[in-house]
Amino acid sequence: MTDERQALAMEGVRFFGEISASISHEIKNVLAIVNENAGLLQDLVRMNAKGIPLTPERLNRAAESISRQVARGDRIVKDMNRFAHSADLPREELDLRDVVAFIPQLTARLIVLQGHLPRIEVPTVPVPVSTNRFFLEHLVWACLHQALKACTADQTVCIVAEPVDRGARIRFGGIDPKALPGSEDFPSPQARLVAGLLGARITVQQDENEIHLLLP
Amino acid sequence: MKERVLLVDDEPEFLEIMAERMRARDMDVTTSTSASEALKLIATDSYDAVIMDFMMPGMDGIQALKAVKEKRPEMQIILLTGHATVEKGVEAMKAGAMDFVEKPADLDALSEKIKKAHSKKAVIVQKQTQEKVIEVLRKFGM
Repeated sequence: MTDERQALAMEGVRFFGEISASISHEIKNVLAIVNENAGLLQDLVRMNAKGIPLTPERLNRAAESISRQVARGDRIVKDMNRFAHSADLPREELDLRDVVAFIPQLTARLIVLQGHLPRIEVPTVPVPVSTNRFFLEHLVWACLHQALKACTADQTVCIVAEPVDRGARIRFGGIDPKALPGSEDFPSPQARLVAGLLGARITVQQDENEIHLLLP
Repeated sequence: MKERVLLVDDEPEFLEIMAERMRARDMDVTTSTSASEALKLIATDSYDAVIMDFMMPGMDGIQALKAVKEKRPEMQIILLTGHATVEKGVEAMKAGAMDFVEKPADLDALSEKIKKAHSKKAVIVQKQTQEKVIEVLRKFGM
């Protein structure tokens, strides 16, 4: 295995680990709420044994909370499964709009730890690209993560997916111009390697206060 | 005497149910969904135990823990985490946490820790008061 291939494989595993760790934390939060509801029901039964009447309204609220968390857990696991399958094919025909919508959903917890969920703008028609889905998701997250770091607390990152001549582009805007990363800081050597694999290019547009991800 | 607890977590539903269960165990519970809001509460009110999520938006658990300890060294802090690793546990204890508990937490076990926090804080406050009295007496040449 060449050094470059090995570095790409390691970066792929690192990205997979970062996302998996975030997902497992989110699942733990869901389980914690279900656990508290189970404990609450036991508390109510114990109190009832001491003569305190059970209130149907409180029982119903606990049941609704459990249902909500089951739906939340189901969504998280579905996203995790979709992410796991993104490494199935070396190259596939994709609609960039799907990837742009999926990554903020998949990384919602990581985003909330950093700021607000981004605003997404996509055209009404598909934006086709032929690439590796897993590494494209890696690049979208790398750019989004950087954009969130460079966005002030009262601002929202805006992601725009659009077709361009001979390819497609994702623009990450809403960045504080003073916090724009320099070309020496971003993209990281690992992101450059992934971009090289896909024939993609990441640039920081100082004049537009945006990060651009250009795909062939 | 009721234990005074400040519960800090960015999951409102978790806060609401846990607080309800703690109140049913005769604890006096205040809740907060952010570390920054919790720091404001700590500046004005006294709690026997602060139970805080390890990972929250704006400020992580270790940063929040250090900020609380700086303002109120007597405050006993129990950190809640999704994944309790040895490294995180050591980091939390070094920063001054009283304990480190993995989610989902067992409330009966947590209640025991809160009682311990209550006693521990009482000893610290007693010692602080004693030192203040000695200082006053010294000023009066006694």
